[in-house]
Amino acid sequence: MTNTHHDTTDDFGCAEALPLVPSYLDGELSEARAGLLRKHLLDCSPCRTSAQDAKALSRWFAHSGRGELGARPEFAPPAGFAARVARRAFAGDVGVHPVLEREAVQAGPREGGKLLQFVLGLTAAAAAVMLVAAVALRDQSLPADGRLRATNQPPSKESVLLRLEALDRAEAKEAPGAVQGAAQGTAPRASPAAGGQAGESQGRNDGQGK
Amino acid sequence: MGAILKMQPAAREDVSLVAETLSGNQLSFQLLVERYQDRMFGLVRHYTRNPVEIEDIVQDTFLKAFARLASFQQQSSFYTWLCRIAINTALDFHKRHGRNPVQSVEDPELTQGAEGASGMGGGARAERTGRSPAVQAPDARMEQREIQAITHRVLEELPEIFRTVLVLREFEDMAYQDMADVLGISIGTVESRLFRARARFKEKLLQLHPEFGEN
Ligand SMILES: [Zn+2]
Repeated sequence: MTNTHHDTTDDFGCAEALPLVPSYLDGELSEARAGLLRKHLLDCSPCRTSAQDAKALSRWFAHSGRGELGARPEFAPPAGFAARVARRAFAGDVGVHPVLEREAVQAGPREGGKLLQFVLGLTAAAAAVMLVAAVALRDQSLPADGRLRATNQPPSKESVLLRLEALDRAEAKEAPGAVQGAAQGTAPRASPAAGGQAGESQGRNDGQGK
Repeated sequence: MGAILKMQPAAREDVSLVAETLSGNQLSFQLLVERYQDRMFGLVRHYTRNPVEIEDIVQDTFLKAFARLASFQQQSSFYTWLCRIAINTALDFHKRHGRNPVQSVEDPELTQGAEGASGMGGGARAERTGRSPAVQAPDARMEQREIQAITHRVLEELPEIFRTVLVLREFEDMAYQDMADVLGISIGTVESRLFRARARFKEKLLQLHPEFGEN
């Protein structure tokens, strides 16, 4: 082996140091081990070079736009996405679509097949719950209709289907931001935007900040 | 209740939103979706470039999450749990369309037994002997979009398991433990897979763009 790295610095040589470099740069080493590694890097120029190489790649990824999603609108959720997903979820759509149905969805109008699929799965009770919530969210886009709020008289599946189609059409026409505005009006907690920011700090280990 | 109080505020809010959703509050689920939709779109775009497919996959991710919400264990964060569902949904989606999302998942390097219980195993170490050229940081004058495009093209060339660890680490900025949770593997395996993924990324990048190698 033509290895010019140091093989011994006490018990912590290149063989011990090199495997730790990526974890060190990722902020995943305990302070004790990071200290040993730093000491080794000061003494050992080949290992230092390896660490610099690894750092260069890490900079490459940083330049690739970590967290720069907002700059790419084609990858951002469309307006009203969350409201629509929540509505579907509460209507019993479990998000598993057999191949043939998906092909039909793609061949036809984009939302039609899925709409039919989840309407078929509705129970009358779920339909009533969903409609009341949906109406609460977007009452400005629908004509006032007292019967919709009468939970003791669940609507028939046919009328549910018609209503849902109307909702989807209304949603398609809705101006961007309208759904979010409605959601904030009824939300008992912090605005979704604030929640999203808080979410950014998710998924970290407390003791392993970088 | 003590464990919940020790959580960070964001995690605590997730837990209450989950509980409210389970007790039938549709708006709480909508808020959960709003909270994570951007990050899910960002994650899934690494598996398909088609905006319609991205939206479908993210929607299915949240619908599946809702259907399994009662089984969400609070040991992992809601976000990592969601990532796991999203990645599986993206891979399923490709399978169902008879598409291979990636180069072969059966990567020859992986069958050499370098990965697994031994963590940073022989494979990783072997790759380390003999120094390969370093990547230069991109020129400051280069458009970020250009760099992004190159990065995505290189990622697309990598086997799915390598692409996934790089995406979780380099774009989602995930801690090793969270990556281990998402992927259902040990931290040692995360380390060695990440090491190999970076080496492969660098190799592919310099193969496609030798101009980014050091002089
Ligand atoms: Zn050394």
